[in-house]
Amino acid sequence: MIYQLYKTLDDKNAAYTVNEDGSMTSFLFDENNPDYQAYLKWLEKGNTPEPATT
Amino acid sequence: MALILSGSSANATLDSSAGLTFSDSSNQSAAASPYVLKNRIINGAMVIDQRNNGAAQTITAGTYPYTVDRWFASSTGANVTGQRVAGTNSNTYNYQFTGAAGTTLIGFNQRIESYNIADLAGTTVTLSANFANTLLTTVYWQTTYPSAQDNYTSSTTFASGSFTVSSTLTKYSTQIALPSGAANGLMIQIYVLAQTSGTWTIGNVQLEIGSSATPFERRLYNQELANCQRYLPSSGTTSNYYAGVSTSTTNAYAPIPLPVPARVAPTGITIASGTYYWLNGSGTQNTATVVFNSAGYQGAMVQITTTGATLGQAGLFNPNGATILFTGCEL
Repeated sequence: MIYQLYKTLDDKNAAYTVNEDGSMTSFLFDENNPDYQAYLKWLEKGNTPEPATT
Repeated sequence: MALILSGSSANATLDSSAGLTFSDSSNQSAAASPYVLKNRIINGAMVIDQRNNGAAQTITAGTYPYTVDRWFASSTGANVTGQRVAGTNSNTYNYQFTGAAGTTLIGFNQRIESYNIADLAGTTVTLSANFANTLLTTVYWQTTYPSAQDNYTSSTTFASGSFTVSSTLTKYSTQIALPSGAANGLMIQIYVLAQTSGTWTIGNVQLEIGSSATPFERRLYNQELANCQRYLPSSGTTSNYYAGVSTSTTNAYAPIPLPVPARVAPTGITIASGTYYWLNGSGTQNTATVVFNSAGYQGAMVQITTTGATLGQAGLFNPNGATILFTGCEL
Protein backbone atom coordinates (compact mmCIF):
# COMPACT_ATOMS: atom_id res chain seq x y z
CA MET A 1 0.00 0.00 0.00
CA ILE A 2 1.24 3.47 -0.89
CA TYR A 3 -0.38 6.84 -0.31
CA GLN A 4 -0.35 9.65 -2.83
CA LEU A 5 -0.70 13.17 -1.48
CA TYR A 6 -2.80 15.78 -3.27
CA LYS A 7 -4.38 19.19 -2.72
CA THR A 8 -8.09 19.92 -2.91
CA LEU A 9 -9.51 22.84 -4.85
CA ASP A 10 -9.41 24.98 -1.71
CA ASP A 11 -5.81 23.92 -1.01
CA LYS A 12 -6.48 21.43 1.78
CA ASN A 13 -4.09 18.54 2.30
CA ALA A 14 -5.43 15.16 1.29
CA ALA A 15 -4.26 11.71 0.26
CA TYR A 16 -5.50 8.68 -1.61
CA THR A 17 -4.58 5.04 -1.81
CA VAL A 18 -5.67 2.00 -3.76
CA ASN A 19 -6.87 -0.77 -1.46
CA GLU A 20 -6.21 -4.49 -1.82
CA ASP A 21 -9.64 -5.07 -3.35
CA GLY A 22 -9.05 -2.41 -6.02
CA SER A 23 -11.24 0.22 -4.40
CA MET A 24 -9.78 3.69 -3.96
CA THR A 25 -9.90 5.63 -0.69
CA SER A 26 -9.26 9.36 -0.50
CA PHE A 27 -9.55 11.66 2.49
CA LEU A 28 -8.78 15.03 3.97
CA PHE A 29 -6.24 15.32 6.74
CA ASP A 30 -9.00 15.37 9.30
CA GLU A 31 -8.42 13.68 12.65
CA ASN A 32 -11.99 12.34 12.74
CA ASN A 33 -11.65 10.48 9.46
CA PRO A 34 -10.76 6.81 10.08
CA ASP A 35 -8.78 6.58 6.86
CA TYR A 36 -6.65 9.53 7.91
CA GLN A 37 -6.06 7.77 11.25
CA ALA A 38 -4.96 4.66 9.35
CA TYR A 39 -2.66 6.86 7.25
CA LEU A 40 -1.06 8.27 10.43
CA LYS A 41 -0.39 4.72 11.68
CA TRP A 42 1.16 3.92 8.30
CA LEU A 43 3.44 6.93 8.71
CA GLU A 44 4.38 5.80 12.23
CA LYS A 45 5.79 2.63 10.71
CA GLY A 46 8.32 4.73 8.85
CA ASN A 47 6.57 4.85 5.49
CA THR A 48 6.69 7.88 3.21
CA PRO A 49 3.86 8.97 0.88
CA GLU A 50 4.26 10.05 -2.71
CA PRO A 51 4.41 13.85 -2.85
CA ALA A 52 1.64 15.91 -4.35
CA THR A 53 2.06 16.84 -7.98
CA THR A 54 1.63 20.45 -8.96
CA MET B 1 -67.30 -16.69 25.55
CA ALA B 2 -66.06 -13.20 26.17
CA LEU B 3 -63.59 -12.36 28.91
CA ILE B 4 -64.46 -9.08 30.59
CA LEU B 5 -62.14 -7.38 33.05
CA SER B 6 -63.77 -4.70 35.18
CA GLY B 7 -63.20 -2.82 38.39
CA SER B 8 -60.86 -0.04 39.39
CA SER B 9 -59.10 -1.30 42.49
CA ALA B 10 -56.59 -3.71 41.00
CA ASN B 11 -54.70 -4.47 37.82
CA ALA B 12 -55.37 -7.64 35.89
CA THR B 13 -52.29 -9.84 35.92
CA LEU B 14 -51.30 -12.49 33.41
CA ASP B 15 -49.21 -14.84 35.51
CA SER B 16 -48.45 -17.56 33.00
CA SER B 17 -45.29 -17.52 30.91
CA ALA B 18 -47.31 -19.08 28.11
CA GLY B 19 -48.74 -15.69 27.29
CA LEU B 20 -52.15 -14.77 25.93
CA THR B 21 -53.56 -16.46 22.82
CA PHE B 22 -56.09 -14.58 20.68
CA SER B 23 -58.91 -15.89 18.48
CA ASP B 24 -56.67 -15.83 15.40
CA SER B 25 -54.26 -18.17 17.24
CA SER B 26 -51.67 -15.45 17.63
CA ASN B 27 -49.88 -15.42 20.96
CA GLN B 28 -48.50 -12.48 22.87
CA SER B 29 -46.07 -13.46 25.58
CA ALA B 30 -44.76 -10.02 26.53
CA ALA B 31 -46.29 -6.62 26.94
CA ALA B 32 -46.29 -4.61 23.75
CA SER B 33 -44.21 -1.47 23.95
CA PRO B 34 -46.26 1.72 23.73
CA TYR B 35 -43.32 3.40 22.03
CA VAL B 36 -42.86 3.85 18.31
CA LEU B 37 -39.29 3.52 17.06
CA LYS B 38 -38.41 2.17 20.47
CA ASN B 39 -35.08 0.60 19.50
CA ARG B 40 -32.27 3.12 19.92
CA ILE B 41 -29.80 0.74 18.27
CA ILE B 42 -29.51 1.32 14.53
CA ASN B 43 -29.15 -1.75 12.34
CA GLY B 44 -29.65 -4.12 15.27
CA ALA B 45 -30.84 -6.75 12.79
CA MET B 46 -27.57 -6.44 10.80
CA VAL B 47 -29.51 -5.92 7.58
CA ILE B 48 -27.54 -2.94 6.26
CA ASP B 49 -24.00 -3.77 5.19
CA GLN B 50 -22.91 -0.98 2.84
CA ARG B 51 -19.19 -1.57 3.32
CA ASN B 52 -19.00 -5.29 2.66
CA ASN B 53 -22.41 -6.39 1.33
CA GLY B 54 -22.08 -9.71 3.10
CA ALA B 55 -18.43 -10.36 2.28
CA ALA B 56 -16.07 -11.50 5.02
CA GLN B 57 -13.90 -8.87 6.66
CA THR B 58 -10.63 -9.32 8.50
CA ILE B 59 -10.66 -7.61 11.89
CA THR B 60 -6.99 -6.83 12.37
CA ALA B 61 -5.84 -7.03 15.97
CA GLY B 62 -5.52 -3.62 17.54
CA THR B 63 -7.81 -1.86 15.08
CA TYR B 64 -11.45 -0.76 15.32
CA PRO B 65 -12.95 -1.12 11.85
CA TYR B 66 -16.60 -0.57 11.05
CA THR B 67 -18.35 -3.71 9.86
CA VAL B 68 -22.08 -3.86 9.13
CA ASP B 69 -23.44 -0.34 9.31
CA ARG B 70 -23.15 1.46 12.65
CA TRP B 71 -21.20 -1.41 14.27
CA PHE B 72 -17.45 -1.37 14.78
CA ALA B 73 -15.43 -4.35 15.87
CA SER B 74 -12.19 -4.90 17.70
CA SER B 75 -9.90 -7.80 18.40
CA THR B 76 -6.83 -8.36 20.48
CA GLY B 77 -4.28 -11.12 20.32
CA ALA B 78 -4.95 -12.18 16.74
CA ASN B 79 -6.79 -11.22 13.59
CA VAL B 80 -10.30 -12.63 13.38
CA THR B 81 -12.96 -12.69 10.68
CA GLY B 82 -16.34 -10.98 10.82
CA GLN B 83 -19.19 -11.38 8.38
CA ARG B 84 -22.89 -10.80 8.00
CA VAL B 85 -24.44 -14.24 7.71
CA ALA B 86 -27.88 -15.60 6.93
CA GLY B 87 -30.24 -15.80 9.87
CA THR B 88 -32.95 -18.24 10.68
CA ASN B 89 -36.73 -17.99 10.81
CA SER B 90 -37.81 -14.34 10.71
CA ASN B 91 -34.27 -13.07 11.18
CA THR B 92 -32.82 -12.43 7.75
CA TYR B 93 -29.30 -11.82 9.01
CA ASN B 94 -26.97 -12.12 11.97
CA TYR B 95 -23.38 -11.01 12.39
CA GLN B 96 -20.79 -13.66 13.06
CA PHE B 97 -17.17 -13.67 14.16
CA THR B 98 -14.90 -16.63 13.55
CA GLY B 99 -12.23 -16.98 16.20
CA ALA B 100 -8.54 -17.64 15.70
CA ALA B 101 -5.71 -19.05 17.79
CA GLY B 102 -4.27 -16.42 20.09
CA THR B 103 -7.39 -14.29 20.27
CA THR B 104 -7.91 -12.75 23.70
CA LEU B 105 -10.89 -10.49 22.97
CA ILE B 106 -13.41 -9.78 20.23
CA GLY B 107 -15.62 -6.72 20.62
CA PHE B 108 -18.74 -5.56 18.78
CA ASN B 109 -19.72 -2.01 19.55
CA GLN B 110 -22.14 0.75 18.69
CA ARG B 111 -22.11 4.40 19.69
CA ILE B 112 -25.61 5.84 19.95
CA GLU B 113 -25.75 9.51 18.98
CA SER B 114 -26.70 11.86 21.80
CA TYR B 115 -29.84 13.01 19.97
CA ASN B 116 -31.11 9.43 20.09
CA ILE B 117 -30.43 8.67 23.75
CA ALA B 118 -30.58 11.96 25.69
CA ASP B 119 -34.26 11.55 26.53
CA LEU B 120 -33.50 8.24 28.29
CA ALA B 121 -30.74 9.59 30.55
CA GLY B 122 -31.72 9.04 34.16
CA THR B 123 -34.06 6.15 33.33
CA THR B 124 -33.81 2.37 33.22
CA VAL B 125 -33.41 0.82 29.80
CA THR B 126 -33.31 -2.78 28.62
CA LEU B 127 -30.63 -4.21 26.38
CA SER B 128 -31.57 -7.39 24.56
CA ALA B 129 -29.87 -9.43 21.86
CA ASN B 130 -29.60 -12.88 20.36
CA PHE B 131 -26.33 -14.70 20.95
CA ALA B 132 -24.84 -18.08 20.15
CA ASN B 133 -21.29 -19.25 20.63
CA THR B 134 -19.85 -22.59 19.59
CA LEU B 135 -16.83 -22.31 21.90
CA LEU B 136 -17.47 -19.97 24.82
CA THR B 137 -20.32 -19.72 27.31
CA THR B 138 -19.95 -16.11 28.43
CA VAL B 139 -20.74 -12.94 26.50
CA TYR B 140 -19.86 -9.72 28.31
CA TRP B 141 -21.33 -6.26 27.91
CA GLN B 142 -20.52 -2.81 29.18
CA THR B 143 -21.85 0.70 28.65
CA THR B 144 -19.97 3.98 28.42
CA TYR B 145 -20.89 7.62 27.96
CA PRO B 146 -18.61 10.35 26.60
CA SER B 147 -17.58 13.35 28.68
CA ALA B 148 -18.60 15.71 25.90
CA GLN B 149 -21.44 15.38 23.45
CA ASP B 150 -20.67 12.55 21.01
CA ASN B 151 -16.95 12.91 21.68
CA TYR B 152 -15.32 9.80 23.15
CA THR B 153 -11.89 11.31 23.69
CA SER B 154 -12.76 11.05 27.38
CA SER B 155 -15.47 8.70 28.61
CA THR B 156 -16.94 6.93 31.65
CA THR B 157 -17.86 3.26 31.81
CA PHE B 158 -20.78 2.95 34.21
CA ALA B 159 -22.33 -0.51 33.90
CA SER B 160 -21.26 -4.00 32.92
CA GLY B 161 -22.40 -7.59 33.10
CA SER B 162 -22.49 -10.88 31.26
CA PHE B 163 -24.77 -13.46 29.73
CA THR B 164 -24.32 -17.22 29.94
CA VAL B 165 -24.84 -18.42 26.40
CA SER B 166 -24.88 -21.65 24.45
CA SER B 167 -24.39 -22.79 20.87
CA THR B 168 -28.11 -22.25 20.22
CA LEU B 169 -29.10 -18.73 19.18
CA THR B 170 -31.12 -17.42 22.12
CA LYS B 171 -32.42 -14.04 23.24
CA TYR B 172 -30.85 -12.53 26.37
CA SER B 173 -31.60 -9.27 28.14
CA THR B 174 -30.49 -7.06 30.99
CA GLN B 175 -31.59 -3.82 32.59
CA ILE B 176 -29.31 -0.80 32.73
CA ALA B 177 -29.75 2.38 34.77
CA LEU B 178 -28.59 5.23 32.56
CA PRO B 179 -26.91 8.10 34.42
CA SER B 180 -27.43 11.71 33.46
CA GLY B 181 -24.14 11.63 31.56
CA ALA B 182 -25.75 9.40 28.95
CA ALA B 183 -27.31 12.56 27.56
CA ASN B 184 -23.93 12.99 25.83
CA GLY B 185 -24.34 9.69 24.00
CA LEU B 186 -24.00 6.01 24.80
CA MET B 187 -21.64 3.29 23.67
CA ILE B 188 -22.77 -0.32 23.90
CA GLN B 189 -19.88 -2.78 23.93
CA ILE B 190 -20.46 -6.50 23.61
CA TYR B 191 -17.46 -8.78 23.78
CA VAL B 192 -16.09 -12.26 24.32
CA LEU B 193 -12.65 -13.27 25.50
CA ALA B 194 -10.55 -16.17 24.23
CA GLN B 195 -12.44 -16.99 21.04
CA THR B 196 -9.56 -19.11 19.80
CA SER B 197 -11.80 -21.07 17.46
CA GLY B 198 -15.46 -21.52 16.68
CA THR B 199 -17.98 -18.79 16.01
CA TRP B 200 -19.80 -16.07 17.92
CA THR B 201 -23.14 -15.04 16.43
CA ILE B 202 -25.05 -11.86 17.26
CA GLY B 203 -28.46 -10.65 16.14
CA ASN B 204 -31.49 -8.50 16.93
CA VAL B 205 -29.74 -6.11 19.29
CA GLN B 206 -32.19 -3.73 20.92
CA LEU B 207 -31.97 -0.98 23.52
CA GLU B 208 -35.32 0.34 24.69
CA ILE B 209 -36.88 2.30 27.49
CA GLY B 210 -38.19 0.41 30.54
CA SER B 211 -37.46 -2.84 32.30
CA SER B 212 -39.03 -5.25 29.84
CA ALA B 213 -37.38 -6.84 26.81
CA THR B 214 -40.22 -6.47 24.34
CA PRO B 215 -40.19 -8.12 20.90
CA PHE B 216 -37.51 -6.90 18.52
CA GLU B 217 -38.61 -3.88 16.52
CA ARG B 218 -38.40 -4.48 12.78
CA ARG B 219 -37.98 -1.33 10.77
CA LEU B 220 -38.64 -1.07 7.05
CA TYR B 221 -35.52 -1.54 4.95
CA ASN B 222 -35.60 1.95 3.50
CA GLN B 223 -36.02 3.47 6.95
CA GLU B 224 -33.06 1.59 8.37
CA LEU B 225 -30.93 2.36 5.31
CA ALA B 226 -31.65 6.05 5.78
CA ASN B 227 -30.81 5.75 9.48
CA CYS B 228 -27.46 4.21 8.56
CA GLN B 229 -26.67 6.68 5.80
CA ARG B 230 -26.70 9.55 8.25
CA TYR B 231 -23.38 8.00 9.38
CA LEU B 232 -22.24 6.48 6.08
CA PRO B 233 -23.74 8.25 3.07
CA SER B 234 -23.56 6.27 -0.15
CA SER B 235 -24.16 7.00 -3.81
CA GLY B 236 -25.69 3.58 -4.32
CA THR B 237 -24.85 1.28 -7.21
CA THR B 238 -26.98 2.76 -9.95
CA SER B 239 -25.23 4.29 -12.94
CA ASN B 240 -26.03 7.89 -12.17
CA TYR B 241 -24.32 10.64 -14.09
CA TYR B 242 -23.18 13.69 -12.16
CA ALA B 243 -22.83 17.00 -13.97
CA GLY B 244 -19.57 18.85 -13.45
CA VAL B 245 -17.11 21.20 -15.05
CA SER B 246 -13.56 20.87 -16.33
CA THR B 247 -10.91 23.14 -14.92
CA SER B 248 -8.17 22.00 -17.33
CA THR B 249 -7.56 19.39 -19.98
CA THR B 250 -7.05 16.76 -17.28
CA ASN B 251 -9.09 17.90 -14.27
CA ALA B 252 -12.77 18.24 -13.53
CA TYR B 253 -15.04 18.55 -10.52
CA ALA B 254 -18.52 17.13 -9.98
CA PRO B 255 -20.97 17.55 -7.10
CA ILE B 256 -22.72 14.44 -5.77
CA PRO B 257 -25.82 14.80 -3.57
CA LEU B 258 -25.99 12.74 -0.38
CA PRO B 259 -29.05 10.50 0.04
CA VAL B 260 -29.82 11.87 3.52
CA PRO B 261 -28.24 14.73 5.47
CA ALA B 262 -25.06 13.42 7.04
CA ARG B 263 -24.39 13.67 10.78
CA VAL B 264 -21.36 15.80 9.96
CA ALA B 265 -19.87 16.79 6.63
CA PRO B 266 -17.97 13.85 5.09
CA THR B 267 -14.19 14.14 4.83
CA GLY B 268 -13.40 11.35 2.40
CA ILE B 269 -14.67 8.73 0.00
CA THR B 270 -14.08 5.11 -0.89
CA ILE B 271 -15.12 4.23 -4.40
CA ALA B 272 -15.49 0.60 -5.34
CA SER B 273 -13.14 -0.96 -7.85
CA GLY B 274 -14.18 -0.26 -11.41
CA THR B 275 -13.73 1.84 -14.50
CA TYR B 276 -15.13 5.37 -14.25
CA TYR B 277 -15.59 7.94 -16.96
CA TRP B 278 -15.69 11.63 -17.63
CA LEU B 279 -18.03 12.43 -20.52
CA ASN B 280 -16.77 15.73 -21.91
CA GLY B 281 -18.87 18.41 -23.57
CA SER B 282 -17.95 17.08 -27.00
CA GLY B 283 -19.58 13.78 -26.19
CA THR B 284 -16.36 11.81 -25.77
CA GLN B 285 -16.14 9.51 -22.76
CA ASN B 286 -12.67 9.02 -21.25
CA THR B 287 -11.63 6.95 -18.29
CA ALA B 288 -11.16 8.81 -15.04
CA THR B 289 -9.93 8.50 -11.51
CA VAL B 290 -11.83 10.16 -8.69
CA VAL B 291 -10.89 11.44 -5.25
CA PHE B 292 -12.63 13.42 -2.53
CA ASN B 293 -12.52 17.19 -2.72
CA SER B 294 -15.00 18.73 -0.28
CA ALA B 295 -18.43 18.23 1.26
CA GLY B 296 -21.25 19.71 3.24
CA TYR B 297 -24.05 17.94 5.11
CA GLN B 298 -26.09 17.29 2.00
CA GLY B 299 -23.63 17.04 -0.82
CA ALA B 300 -20.01 16.41 -1.74
CA MET B 301 -17.75 17.30 -4.61
CA VAL B 302 -15.31 14.89 -6.17
CA GLN B 303 -12.13 15.68 -8.04
CA ILE B 304 -11.70 13.89 -11.36
CA THR B 305 -8.52 13.24 -13.30
CA THR B 306 -9.07 12.32 -16.92
CA THR B 307 -7.98 13.15 -20.45
CA GLY B 308 -9.52 15.12 -23.25
CA ALA B 309 -11.26 17.67 -21.06
CA THR B 310 -11.57 21.33 -21.97
CA LEU B 311 -11.17 24.21 -19.54
CA GLY B 312 -14.55 25.64 -18.62
CA GLN B 313 -16.52 22.97 -20.43
CA ALA B 314 -19.33 21.10 -18.70
CA GLY B 315 -19.30 17.34 -18.58
CA LEU B 316 -20.67 14.31 -16.79
CA PHE B 317 -18.95 12.06 -14.29
CA ASN B 318 -20.01 8.45 -14.69
CA PRO B 319 -19.00 6.14 -11.80
CA ASN B 320 -20.29 3.32 -13.98
CA GLY B 321 -22.22 1.64 -11.19
CA ALA B 322 -19.45 1.78 -8.61
CA THR B 323 -20.69 2.68 -5.14
CA ILE B 324 -19.15 5.73 -3.50
CA LEU B 325 -19.11 5.65 0.31
CA PHE B 326 -18.62 9.01 2.01
CA THR B 327 -16.52 8.65 5.13
CA GLY B 328 -15.87 10.60 8.31
CA CYS B 329 -19.47 10.80 9.55
CA GLU B 330 -19.41 7.94 12.07
CA LEU B 331 -19.23 8.65 15.78
